Amino acid sequence: MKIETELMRGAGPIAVLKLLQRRPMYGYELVQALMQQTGGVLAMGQSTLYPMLYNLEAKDLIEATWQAGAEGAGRDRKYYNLTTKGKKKLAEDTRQWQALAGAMNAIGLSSPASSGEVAGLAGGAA
Amino acid sequence: MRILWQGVRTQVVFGGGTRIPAEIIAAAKLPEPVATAIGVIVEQTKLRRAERCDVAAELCSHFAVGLSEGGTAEQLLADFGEPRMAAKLISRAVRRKRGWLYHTRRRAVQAAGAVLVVLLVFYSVLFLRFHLNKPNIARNYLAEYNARIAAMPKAETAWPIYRSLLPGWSQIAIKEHESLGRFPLLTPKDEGWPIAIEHLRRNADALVTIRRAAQLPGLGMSLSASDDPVCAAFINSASGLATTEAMPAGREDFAAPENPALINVLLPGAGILRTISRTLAFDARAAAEAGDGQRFVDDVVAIIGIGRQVREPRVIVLDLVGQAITSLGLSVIGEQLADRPELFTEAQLAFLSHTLAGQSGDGNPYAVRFDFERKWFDDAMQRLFSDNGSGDGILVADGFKLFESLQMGTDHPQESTLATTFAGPAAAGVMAGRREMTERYHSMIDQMERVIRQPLWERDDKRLDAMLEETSALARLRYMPIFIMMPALQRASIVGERTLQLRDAILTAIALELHRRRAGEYPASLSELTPKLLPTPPLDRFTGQPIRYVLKNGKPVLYSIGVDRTDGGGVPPPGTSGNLAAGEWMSAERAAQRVSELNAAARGILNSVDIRGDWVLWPEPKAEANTDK
Repeated sequence: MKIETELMRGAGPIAVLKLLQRRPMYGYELVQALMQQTGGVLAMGQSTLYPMLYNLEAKDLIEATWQAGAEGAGRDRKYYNLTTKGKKKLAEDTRQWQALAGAMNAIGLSSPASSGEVAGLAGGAA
Repeated sequence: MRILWQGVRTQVVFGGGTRIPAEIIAAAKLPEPVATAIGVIVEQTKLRRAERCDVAAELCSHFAVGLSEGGTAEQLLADFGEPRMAAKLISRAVRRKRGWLYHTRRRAVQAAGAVLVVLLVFYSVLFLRFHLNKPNIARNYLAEYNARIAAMPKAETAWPIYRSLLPGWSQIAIKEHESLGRFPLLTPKDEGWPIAIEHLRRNADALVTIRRAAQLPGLGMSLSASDDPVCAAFINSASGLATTEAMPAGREDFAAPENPALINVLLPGAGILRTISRTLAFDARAAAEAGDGQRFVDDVVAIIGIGRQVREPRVIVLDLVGQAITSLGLSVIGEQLADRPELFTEAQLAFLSHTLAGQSGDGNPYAVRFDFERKWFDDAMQRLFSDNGSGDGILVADGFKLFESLQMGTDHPQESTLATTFAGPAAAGVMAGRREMTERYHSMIDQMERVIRQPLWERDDKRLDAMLEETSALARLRYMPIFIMMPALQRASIVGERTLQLRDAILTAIALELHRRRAGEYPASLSELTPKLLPTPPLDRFTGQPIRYVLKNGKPVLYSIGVDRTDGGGVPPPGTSGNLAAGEWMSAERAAQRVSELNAAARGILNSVDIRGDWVLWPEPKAEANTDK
């Protein structure tokens, strides 16, 4: 399912922050995680992801460090990690999303099917 | 800090600050389409080198991981998205990461750009307004003036008579005879005396007519922007030039337009009537030498009459010329009253006295008037500014050209220049509108007229200076046409008082002579003259007190205490121009300062006219004798 750009603009950054809450990740890894854990709902082109990462970095919500790749991979990778400010921001945004989801549920906009599509991400955040 | 970190990281991660993105991409050994796409994206970001290296390394890492996990180059590129859009988004995001200095500078540049755009838009509006609007020259002020002249009864106007005499006038060849340089103050001992007498003989008939015309109530001189050939020929012959060669440059082919600017109006009558007056002054001296009192009286009364007539158009230039002619007549009378009092009969003295006193009116009869100057300014406004139909408008291109010519002291509109085209709109933006400009000018003239109606001793010079010497640069710019076109008000405001003082002195001198004849001696004080010979003793224009009177060697001396406001017993300051300097107006405060400077300075200081002395009104000190009072 393709999400409207406006909705994606709000959802994308919080999804990335949520993924980075678990552990530091590099760009390709984030792309794959968004694709697989949201059933493709929050999949985004890399041309969108990297600018988003740089924006989050500019806001000091995440920070990047280059690390040598795993043994045998032989390539450096740029890992992104949540900052303290990023953690606070994620907590705040999570509360807002939950309130929004509750409100949507209350007026009957939420459905089991749509909830199921994002089960992986929701489960991970729990 | 971040920039510093980026530099360090580039050193650490990419093996040195001298690497370029292309080397990083090449080192990644990626398939050619992927390497090319990364190269394009990185270059199109137009970021700093370190930033591009960082982006290149991250994208290389991204695609390398993708390939190692089984993706194809085509698939990965398709998933990545459109390179140009990617470059744009990456560039924008990376720039956001830059430090506060970059963002501050960027905002400053943006703000400056915005201001520039606003200014450009504003200037464009001014530019269009300036170049698209045109003046509306609706009134013909010259025609209105000439219509009033034409309506005057012909039998009461003197100018047509004077003009008719010009072709037959025999000029005195001053330029050809150095000895005539002092004309009309020649004496029989002067070498030029016979030449001047011959000049009188040739013009004797004309002088008879002139004396008669000088008694007419009006001048009736219509004005024009083109040369009157009769006047031009007279002026040229007075200059010793042939009629055909002596036209002022540009005038001969300067066809008079239907509605010429008043600024272009010529005033040939001023010079002509001054020339005629000088001949009358010499004739009076010649008559005195010959003992012909009646001819002398007729001549000086004619001079006084011409002085009155010249002032009729109420143009400041003519007003000043009229006062100079009047002063010449007063000087000639004063001279003979002192040197040859027996020349006059009592009846002639009484007649002279009545003639001079008859010039009195409301206040100072010699006060300069600004009627024509007001018209002159209003006419300039209709040529410089547009007309919105309700008395307002803006400075426009055609007017600006005329305005430039005013500044350059010419009366021909200037050609369009870059300054006109581009500086003009800005000037129009700063300059006050037509209504505001006109109201301010007339307000200033109103104030000046109130000042001029006051006697000198009551004058508030500070207020006058504050009005005329606008100190604010912005105000000078905003009202520039006023400051450029404002007549010489300071001078104009004083000259009338000076003429009145001289006239009063001559009236008193006549009264003294009449008293001497009747009582056998001069009075002890001026109060003895009143009220029979003089209504009241005239007032000193510097103090408001009666003018001073002393007897020196049995001869009377009338004087003002002068600009230094100190009674020196009727002794003028030293030097050939001392008496003149003592009569030049300046405020008491300024004069005191000047006297203090003179007292402190070494004796005989050069380049500083001494004002410490009295202004001797009559008899005029001999060293001061000249023609241009």
